[in-house]
Formats: sequence, structure tokens, C-alpha cells
Amino acid sequence: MQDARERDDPANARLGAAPDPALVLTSPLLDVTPFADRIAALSRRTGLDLSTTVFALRALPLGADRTRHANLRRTMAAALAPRLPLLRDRLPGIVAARLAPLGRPGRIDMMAGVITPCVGDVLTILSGVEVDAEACALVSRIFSEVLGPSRRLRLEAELRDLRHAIETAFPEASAPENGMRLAMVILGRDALIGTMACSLHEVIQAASGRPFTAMSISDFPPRTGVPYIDRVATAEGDVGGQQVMPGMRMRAHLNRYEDGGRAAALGFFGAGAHLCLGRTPALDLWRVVARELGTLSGTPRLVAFALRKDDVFAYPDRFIVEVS
Amino acid sequence: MSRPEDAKDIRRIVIDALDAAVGIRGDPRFAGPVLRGDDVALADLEIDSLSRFEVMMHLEEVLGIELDDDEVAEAATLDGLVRHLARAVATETGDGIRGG
Repeated sequence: MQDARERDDPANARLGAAPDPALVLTSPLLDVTPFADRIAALSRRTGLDLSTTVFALRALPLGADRTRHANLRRTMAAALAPRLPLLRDRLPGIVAARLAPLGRPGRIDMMAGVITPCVGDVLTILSGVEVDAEACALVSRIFSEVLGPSRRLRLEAELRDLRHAIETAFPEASAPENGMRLAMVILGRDALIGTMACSLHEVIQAASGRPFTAMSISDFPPRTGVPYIDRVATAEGDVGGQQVMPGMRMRAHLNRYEDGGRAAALGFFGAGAHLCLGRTPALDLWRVVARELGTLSGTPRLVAFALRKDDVFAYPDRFIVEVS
Repeated sequence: MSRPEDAKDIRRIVIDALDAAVGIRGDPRFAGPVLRGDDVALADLEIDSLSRFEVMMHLEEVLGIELDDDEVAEAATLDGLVRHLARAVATETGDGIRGG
């Protein structure tokens, strides 16, 4: 039941031949997807209360057009800066505790038992509010264009609970400041979990039966949880050899950087004015995870791995490892 | 909510949803095929994404299932959507829906 505009949009047919992601992300002809406007229109049309979703989307630098983006990004960068040294101090302890199940023989649910709680700890430090990453399983799916009505209402409820927790923890903060904390959790959760999970899967699979101590693990994650970012053309012109018209969608395929080492792994985090503010904490986390894995005595074997159906993130819904 | 008995029930529910969103029964191009039980290409209805969401709200409420937009968008025809929904209802309720 595609609508006529989607069916005829030539951008959809061109995604396979997309240009260099950096060109897409830095092109002055392209701007961010207007997530907030879309959800506001959906709310008006259907009468569903999606007010917290719209509030959160308007707080995200990622979704802000050029006129609002610089201010939002500065505010978030200023809020993150003092949290980063704290995170670096605590990461070795967090990672050692969360990876401990991999140091003992047995079967481990990597998502529920290791990665999701580890990312919850990281987001708790970055946002300043206790984040139970299991309890806000839908928040990062705010960017999804395929969520149906029931899931969208559950997402709204999760965001409302998280916003309430943030406002309770920071009663003196302004609405934009607390919106920014909400944005940190939204932006961080599935991106970090997906990147950690897909990278750990790659490491364990590539090791093909070798013990952790014999693995050569890069300081840079080999996989990304954010395989692509979409942009929308605001003017007619050429982007990396492709003609765009206003309203056309163009995709920056960040997964093109996978398996490319340091320089390429930095590409996972985008380019230009929207360079991901989570790059430093994400790389710090992976570096500590890589080092911790090298201290574990067991030998991991991949039992099961499957990505969930997701139009935004590369995110496993099944990742089971057995350690002997 | 009473559970739909068979695929005919589901077809009627889908047509109700499409009628509420885009007036399928009042459109002379589709009223005849719908009454005769013929299949209809959903692309011909020219449903935009907001109307599709309204259709999904109706289907979720009446059928007691959860849907994602891509599942509905992938259905090429009315009968294809009915078959998909019958499978979803069967999965939700743990039993089968009789064909119709």
C-alpha cells in the first residue's frame, strides 16, 4: 500500500548507487529529515497525543535545520564536555563488571546480559539521570518511519516517563536543557547498543574459536549500529554526481566505512556540521571493551545472531554466545 | 472486540478501514469490485502515509494486533493485505483463521 509519492520518488531507486557519505552529509543542497514536523502532522491528523515525541524531536540537534542546529549542538556539546572525564574514569569499572559473564563458562545472552546494561550505565553518566536501557527499549525508534500506532503510543509513553525522570532529577533546569538530556538518551541508546553488539559479533565470529587472549581486537569498532543517515534535498543540483530535486531523499551509507580501520571508523560518526557528538564516548567505550576482552581467559563461540527488523539501526534482537 | 471468524470477516474489516480513510465504497472505480469480492490494487487507491496510518489504527483496534507501516505498505492488493492480517491474527491468537 505504498503511496504515489513514495512509489515514484527516484531517490528510492538510487540508494544502491549512493555517493560518498561525506558528500551527502556536507552538501548545502541537502538538509535533515523533518522528523518533528512529520510527527506533529500525524498527531494533528489522528488526534493521538504525541506531544512528548514532538518535544523530543525538536530537542535533537540531529533533526534541527541549519537555523536551529548550531545553537542546539553547542548546548549539547557544553553539557557533554564535563561528563566525558567522569565517564573515562568509570568506564574500566563498568566494562569489567558488565563483561564479567564472558569470563565464566556458560551461555550468555549478550543483549540482555551484557551490552544493554553496559550502555545503560554509560547513558546514566552522560545524561546525569538513571537510565534503565531495558525499560526504554523504544526511545531510539523515534526516527523510524514504519512504527505502527500501538508501538508509536508505547514510544510516547516511554519518552514521557523518561522526560518525567529527567525533570524530577533536574527541577531547576530549563525545558531546552532537559530536552537535551532526553535527546542524549534517544541518540545514544540504539546507536551505542547496535555498534557494540555488531562489533562484538564481528570480533567473536572473526576469531573463529580462538580464546579471547589470542584475539587481535582493534581500538576502533569494526561495525556501526547506524548503517545510514537520510537527508532531504532543499534545492536542485548535483550531489556526488547525482541530480537532486527539492524533496528528494538521499542516503549517506555510513556502513561503507566498515572494516576500514581507524580513519574509516571515524567516518561512522558522520561529517560536517552534524558530526556525531557521541563519537568520543562511543570510541572510549569500545577501546575499554577491546582491552577488557583481551584479559578474559575463556573461548567464545557464537551460538546465534540475528538483527531485528529496523529501518534505522543495525540492532540485534538475538545474540547468544557460549564461553568454554 | 470479538475475534474475526474468517478471512471474509477480515476483508470486511479492511474495507471498513479503507472506506473510513479514503472512501473506497463511495468511489465508482472501486465500489463494484469491492461489492463483487474482486481484488483491488492498493496502489490505485493513492493512499498517502497519513491515511495509511489511520487505516492501521482502525485495523489494530478492531483486530487486536500490532502492525508496522512496512508490513501494510508491502501489501500490493486488498487480498494480499487480508492474507497478511489473517496470518497476524492467527499468530496473535495462536490458532488459524478459516480461508474465505
